[in-house]
Amino acid sequence: MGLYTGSASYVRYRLVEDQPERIKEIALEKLKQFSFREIEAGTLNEKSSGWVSAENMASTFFDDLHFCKEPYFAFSLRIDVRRVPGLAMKAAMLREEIKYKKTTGLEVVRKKDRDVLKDQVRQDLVRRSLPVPALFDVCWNTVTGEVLFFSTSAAANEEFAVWFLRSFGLKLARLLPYDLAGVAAEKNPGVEIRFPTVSFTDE
Amino acid sequence: MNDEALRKQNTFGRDFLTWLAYKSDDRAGKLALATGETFFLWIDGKIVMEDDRTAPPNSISYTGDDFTDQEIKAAVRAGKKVREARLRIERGENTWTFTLRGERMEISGLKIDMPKAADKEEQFFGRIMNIESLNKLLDGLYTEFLMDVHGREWKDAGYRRFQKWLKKA
Repeated sequence: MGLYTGSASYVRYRLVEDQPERIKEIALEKLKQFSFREIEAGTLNEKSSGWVSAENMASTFFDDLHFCKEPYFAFSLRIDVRRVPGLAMKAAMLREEIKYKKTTGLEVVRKKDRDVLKDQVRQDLVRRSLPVPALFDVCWNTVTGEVLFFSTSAAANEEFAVWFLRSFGLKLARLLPYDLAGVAAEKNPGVEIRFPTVSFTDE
Repeated sequence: MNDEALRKQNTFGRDFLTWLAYKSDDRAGKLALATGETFFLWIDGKIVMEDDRTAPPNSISYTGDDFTDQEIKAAVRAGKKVREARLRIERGENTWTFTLRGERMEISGLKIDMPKAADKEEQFFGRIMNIESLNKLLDGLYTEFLMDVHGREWKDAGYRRFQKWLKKA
């Protein structure tokens, strides 16, 4: 979110290597191949990630170049996660333990039976829980090789860089202050980065 | 220190934000790039300052309209640098307000002030051009900071000017 509406929070990346020729065709193919797929109801899948249209999070078909807005590519990373709340897990376990004790006549649940019960309860809750979607916009400037990812969450950024590499075979490097200094030094001979920190009080 | 160590263990981002707070206060908000481009930049109601030489880091934050340049100066004198700040930049018809986190140069909560677009395409181009303009402006400011603080004249002239500002009541 942030590319089309609302306030924007973003992190800047640059492509480490040069992007290949025919990038438009390659991007179309890879966006389609690595597009988002819904978690099917009743399955045990807990997470699904993939690319969707930046204009419509339900649109996962990259059949045309709608993502291409010269010189930019705009699309979104959708990550759906099924989470089992800790308290729901605890309540379901306690219920199953009562059933177990009634059935077996035992006063305590055996260790190995507890592990089996825990797995069954967890799987049951995962099957019944709804995936929670998260959406992060991406804007790739194909002229400058700079990519903006619209989230400052560390986990989302990590997932994004990995998914981007997996999809396009292109490694991204986050533009940290040191990297921006390197870019500035290349363009301006007067800039010399010599020391890691500056003291404003005791020179 | 090798390149990778320097890449991760530096305070460039915090130094930059501290320098921005100094320049903005010293020049009543009016800043200029080497290109001659002028604009206004202010701290906009939030600043977090931290001295990370101590463990745990000693930090102080000011929010709202009540903090003064003297409080920022006192924190700098005590060895703190600006970790993050909410900034307001005005250039011609463009206004940007956002929080800049020095450590990783992250932008958050950027409010994009632009007229309502006729369609999605116009909306996209309006917003991305606005964002890229801000990035370019910040890159320009960052270069100014590096030329000043990491330049040859910092020790003899720049640092003295900074101290003069720091001591000014």
